[in-house]
Amino acid sequence: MNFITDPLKYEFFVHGIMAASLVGGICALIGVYIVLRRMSYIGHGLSHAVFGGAVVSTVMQWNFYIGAGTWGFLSVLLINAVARKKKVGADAAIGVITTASFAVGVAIISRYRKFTKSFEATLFGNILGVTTEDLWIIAIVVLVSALLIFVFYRQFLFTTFDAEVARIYGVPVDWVERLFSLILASVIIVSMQVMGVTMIAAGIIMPAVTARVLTDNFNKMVFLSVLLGILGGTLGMYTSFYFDVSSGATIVLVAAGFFVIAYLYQMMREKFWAFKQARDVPVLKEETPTHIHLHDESHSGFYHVHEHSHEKSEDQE
Amino acid sequence: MFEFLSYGFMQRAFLGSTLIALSCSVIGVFAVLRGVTFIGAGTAHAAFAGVAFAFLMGFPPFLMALLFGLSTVWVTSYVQEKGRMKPDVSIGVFYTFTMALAILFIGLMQGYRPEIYGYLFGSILSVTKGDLIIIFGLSLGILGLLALFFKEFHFISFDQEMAEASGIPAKRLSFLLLNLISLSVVIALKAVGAILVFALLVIPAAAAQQWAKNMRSMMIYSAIIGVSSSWSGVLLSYWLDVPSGATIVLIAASIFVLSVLFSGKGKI
Repeated sequence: MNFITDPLKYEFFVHGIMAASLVGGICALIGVYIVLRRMSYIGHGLSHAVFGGAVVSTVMQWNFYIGAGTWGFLSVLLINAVARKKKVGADAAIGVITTASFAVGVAIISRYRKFTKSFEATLFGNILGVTTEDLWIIAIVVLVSALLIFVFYRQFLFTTFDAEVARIYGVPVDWVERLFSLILASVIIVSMQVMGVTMIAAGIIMPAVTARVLTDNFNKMVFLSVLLGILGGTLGMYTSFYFDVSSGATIVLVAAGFFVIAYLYQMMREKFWAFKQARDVPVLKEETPTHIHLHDESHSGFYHVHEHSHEKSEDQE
Repeated sequence: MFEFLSYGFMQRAFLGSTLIALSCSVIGVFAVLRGVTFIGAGTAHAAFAGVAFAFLMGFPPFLMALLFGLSTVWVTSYVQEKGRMKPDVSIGVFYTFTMALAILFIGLMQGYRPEIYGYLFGSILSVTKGDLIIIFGLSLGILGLLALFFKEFHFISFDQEMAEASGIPAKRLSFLLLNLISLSVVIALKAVGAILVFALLVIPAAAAQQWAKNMRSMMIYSAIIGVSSSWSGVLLSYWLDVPSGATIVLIAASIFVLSVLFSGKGKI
């Protein structure tokens, strides 16, 4: 038991693990929407863009959260504005704006001081720096974001699955998207200290993808993803403590471990079902009951969340 | 005024950045048109992990960067082929995983190794003669292959299904294209840096897209924008003592902004 309780004697570790599990959970919650909407790219880009904001607010001695937060939110609005313009693809818009923003950060760092440990922490995450004040800010952001996602659950869900139809039904899609961008930007900001700029995207994507591998049900996916996020954060912190590696890296490696396990488990389960079906109903091939839902080629893509059964029955007719 | 051209490292920087910018911005046209730019970002991060691994084990960094970088393409293509996962998610999982490995490797190293951060942020002034030979050979190979298969690549970039129907091995060609994209990213890694190399792939092509009337002109504009922003980036970074990668990206990004504001004629 000492293995688990020993690190808890240190205040920095307690702060760190609280921050890591909070951040892990909220990133995983947002990740579900990001993964289903195929927006992985913006999570990646935005976390890099925020680096520019972090450097600028450090150099100008602004409050980190306000400076970097405003920067992040403006980047999202700018990406949306540019992507809507003429012939600029969304991925190109993300690429240009976020790398330029990161480049601003790199250029400024080199002007003001040489690359230092504190910027390494911004890139890769560092638990030692989490103060009580940081913890409060993380907790507030997590609470507000989770509350907003809970309150606007239906709007977010509708917009996620079919923005066009949602618009017709009177969901203010643009505002929902803006609200989501704001939540995303604030979550990325508060995750920076624990995860580091380069690792936030993993914290967002990995738990959600792992959950997606395991289930086709949206609510279960949300629950599993958040659980995996919190667990990954906690285990990652212990790993970081014992192996003396940046917390961002260990959290991601633990999450990647979960993903590999889930993937292998799912593959074995499918093999088993395929084997069982081949053995049990070889003669009934023509009229295989439609409710036996096999994860075969045609719809094993992770994105068809609800359509399976309908498609299958239409085919059969 | 031009005394900097007599320095060996400046000559190498100019030659190297020209070759890198040329291969990245030309192949970037295909990446942007096909919407596969994310593979560039994925490759760059994985290649950085390769470099960290090489430093840890004492292997040659370029070889490991190449191996890790190309494996991004192989793994994500394989996963996509199996129909199990959309490429943006598999790239997202793979690159963040390799980046975490990179940090793990850096953590495992004895002492502080500043050279590694050179690969993260790029230092074109540190390009050696040996690097230059590799860059020269590979960028020539990339541009040669592009010229050789230009018609086919052009076809699959606009209509993969049509190309497939008319007997072009579209799947194999697009796999080759992904490998070439990833190769251009890897050769640019040391000079531009893992995080910003992706910009060199996307920004010139996206800016050129605003002006171009067809693919050929888009490639020419992209090459011009890429090369001129690298040259001015190298010069500015020499005069102002700022990192070359960041300067090149900021210049290219300003060209992009101007293009978006003042063009409006392009038809691609």
